[in-house]
Amino acid sequence: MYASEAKSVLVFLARRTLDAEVALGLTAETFAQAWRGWGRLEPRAAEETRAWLFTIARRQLGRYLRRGRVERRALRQLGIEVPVVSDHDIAQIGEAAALASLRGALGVELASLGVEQREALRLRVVDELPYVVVAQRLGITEATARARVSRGLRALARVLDPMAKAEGRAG
Amino acid sequence: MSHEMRVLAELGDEFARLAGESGSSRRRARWRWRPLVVTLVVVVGGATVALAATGVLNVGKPVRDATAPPVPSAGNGSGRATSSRILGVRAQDPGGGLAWGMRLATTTRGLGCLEVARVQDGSVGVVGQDHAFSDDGKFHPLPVALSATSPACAPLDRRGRLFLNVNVGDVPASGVNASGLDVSGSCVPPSAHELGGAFCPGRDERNLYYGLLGPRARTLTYTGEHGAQRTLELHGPDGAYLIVTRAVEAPGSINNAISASLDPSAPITTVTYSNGLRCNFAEPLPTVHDECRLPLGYLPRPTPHYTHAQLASPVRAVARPAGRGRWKLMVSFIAHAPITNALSEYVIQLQGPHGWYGSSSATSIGAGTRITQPLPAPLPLAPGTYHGTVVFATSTTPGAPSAALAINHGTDVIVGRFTIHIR
Repeated sequence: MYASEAKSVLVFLARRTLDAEVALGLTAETFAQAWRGWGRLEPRAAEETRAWLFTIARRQLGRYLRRGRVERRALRQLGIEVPVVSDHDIAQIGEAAALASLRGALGVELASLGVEQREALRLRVVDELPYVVVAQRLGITEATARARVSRGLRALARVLDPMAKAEGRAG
Repeated sequence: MSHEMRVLAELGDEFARLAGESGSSRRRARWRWRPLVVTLVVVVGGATVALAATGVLNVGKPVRDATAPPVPSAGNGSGRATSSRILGVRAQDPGGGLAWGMRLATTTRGLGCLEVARVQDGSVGVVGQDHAFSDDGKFHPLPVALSATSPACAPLDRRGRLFLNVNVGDVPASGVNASGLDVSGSCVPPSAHELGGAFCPGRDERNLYYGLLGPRARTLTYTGEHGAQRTLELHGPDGAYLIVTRAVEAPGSINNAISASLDPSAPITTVTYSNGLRCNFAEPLPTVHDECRLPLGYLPRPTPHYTHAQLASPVRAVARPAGRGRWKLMVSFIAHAPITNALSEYVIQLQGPHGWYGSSSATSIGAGTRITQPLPAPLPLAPGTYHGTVVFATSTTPGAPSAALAINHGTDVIVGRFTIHIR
């Protein structure tokens, strides 16, 4: 399942978080949770198994958007190391998920948000600045910057979500 | 496992390893989990015992700097390769374990920066606890290079020495206290309530008070637990001190904030010097003895003085529509005065409908360079006429880099003015 679905899950999450590193963390935790639940899963058709996997991924995404942090509970329990992401990896994931065009589309939608979320999202998502720089630019703590970005992404879910179904079917 | 993306391939290898350990059958896998978990508990518990007995932790993977590498000519600059040194000062942690220590580095833009973390074998680092590094109990060395976002930096004085006092609140006992470091699993203080989730337990939060008071400082007195006055000898030629308390024991709350200044502040009450001078910082600032206004031995760096005539340049400003009533502003001028360190910069200011918009060069510039600089974000400007200025700003506050300057600071030199018309 990992071999066939890992990239789809990663792309799915990258297009909703617009952050390659976060997406990889969520992907890892998704498969770690899937690993734990696999033993309790009754034999199913491949399509159903896939839907189950994406349900876990969506749940992880929801937690991330609420909390601004990537859950790592299952990863810790299993002792799994998430690879460190290099600039090359970020570019590769961005290309696979076509983040550049998505960022362009979002630039327009950002205008619909409140000024605080918009500025945080613009700096993080469009300008691709590290959270610490976003925090400095906005004069807030890094924690607050993360929270504003995740809330902003949640607010933009209506833009991001229509693509989810298409990706869930693809690949 | 083959995968076109390296990170997915490596992650796949982790799961493949797991599959190899736990077998392929469902029943067998479920039963093999329990010994694995028990083994981990024993190993971590064993590591804790080893720490208590020997004070030495296994070394884990180094902490990664998650931010872009520092640029030698911009911002704080980059750390000078030979300048980084671990100072001799140490502080015990209230919960035991590795001591805390301090690293000093100077930068290419004339600043000195302090980093505080746990210390082992002459390295500063983070302990895998409080959710950092999945609680692996290991010592993870900090990056050798200074982070671009190191928050505790100030200009060196005329003799190239750093004088600085830093307070940081609610730091996890793991030692994670620099925001640019990649320790994303680390717990957060409850004061960062926006996040929810993995809060650090109160017993694992620390307040850090540290700094350098210079070669002539001898002792420091501070208000400790239950209001008790404690005095400590300052360390080495830098006059270094490092105080670590449980966050709940500190007088007042720092609330997850960091402050850095030339003058000591609470909980520090008194500093004594080699000439017998005794400075009391518990008093309101206006009543502080004149000789205590600056640390003894501190020599401010000379600041450049220019006149408007020397720096005057035509300023060209172009506004281009960015959609939805926003405008991108590009400002161009000649920088007649060079920028050689972090104490000076060119600042572009625009009086908008809701206040000032500003942008600073924050980078080193050669004399006579044409600067073309955008304001950082598209501005929401209604049709009308707007006025702006370009100023050369220099820090005149001892110890404060120019970034701390307020707009329209009295010592700014106006380079030129510009007007834009939005239709």
